[in-house]
Amino acid sequence: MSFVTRGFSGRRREPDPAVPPGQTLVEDWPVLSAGVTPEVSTDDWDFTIVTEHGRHMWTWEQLQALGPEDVVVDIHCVTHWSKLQMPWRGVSLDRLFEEVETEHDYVMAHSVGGYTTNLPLDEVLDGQAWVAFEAEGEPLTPEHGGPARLLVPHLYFWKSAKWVRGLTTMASDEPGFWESAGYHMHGDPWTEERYW
Amino acid sequence: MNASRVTWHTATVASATPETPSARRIVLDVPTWPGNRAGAHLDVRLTAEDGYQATRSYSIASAGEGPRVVLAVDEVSTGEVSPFLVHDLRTGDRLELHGPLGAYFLWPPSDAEGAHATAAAAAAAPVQLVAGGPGVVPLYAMATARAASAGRRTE
Repeated sequence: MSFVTRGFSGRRREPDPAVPPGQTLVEDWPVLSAGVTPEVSTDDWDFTIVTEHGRHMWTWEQLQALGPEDVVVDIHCVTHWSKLQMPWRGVSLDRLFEEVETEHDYVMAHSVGGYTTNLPLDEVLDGQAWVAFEAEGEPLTPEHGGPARLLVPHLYFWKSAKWVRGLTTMASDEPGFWESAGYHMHGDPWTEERYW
Repeated sequence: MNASRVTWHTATVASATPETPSARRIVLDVPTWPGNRAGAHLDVRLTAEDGYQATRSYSIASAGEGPRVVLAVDEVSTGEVSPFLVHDLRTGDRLELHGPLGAYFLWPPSDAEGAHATAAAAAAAPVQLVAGGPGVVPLYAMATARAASAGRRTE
């Protein structure tokens, strides 16, 4: 149903195949959060995965011992900005799930402050997701989710939960915080899965 | 939860007036608008002659039933869409809206609209709203809705 808005020509750039539809490149790093920004010390930080079989927990030191990796990824926010070729450092969820058995197909990420977001388990494995604690060569600041946030760059960035503290596996797909408020259950930026 | 399914709407500019030296109030007629709660936002999509499109999210400065929707857009001088909306958009122009969006950053004026029990309880008490620059836009909708609900002026 699209139609031309009189007078609009736009300041388009060369089409960049790395930018999904409806997105605009930014050079800075916008901050969008729901609620207060928590200050979390790595001294009393831990990460927990809860499955139908039980609970697995890692302290900050134990997480680091799993072997962080450096990745360069593009991130896409549902509010229409994208940031390309961004360096991050974190521990792949593959390393965490090496120690975890589950028959479940989904996970709910939980954060300090009560934020939640749902993800298919097979989309956070195989090198697709990290518990990240550095971006652009610096420790993650609290406003960007530090000390650690989820990094799932192939989905809209509300799925990359700030201040993440754990995952709970789920037999069926349940909506998290924004997914309960009108945002898409999956969130693929390439097919613009923004809202339901 | 949103009361109505979110979809695309055709909006016609009813008026566009200066709000500050860099911002403009844009009043839109949107016949299919289902109404929105104070604090909701929407996406504006503009299409150029050659099919090029740009989409941006804006807070809504109005609340309640349609068909009038009010935006207040502050110009980002290096931007692509806000300079067009602030300087070039004219009465009678048409653009596309997607929304209303968002069901969290809301300050319901009455218990009936409370998305959260705490918010509904808080609606009975005075609240201080703080924002900077164009961040005042959703607060304007909240204050207006609150004043309309209470039957008194807050300005």
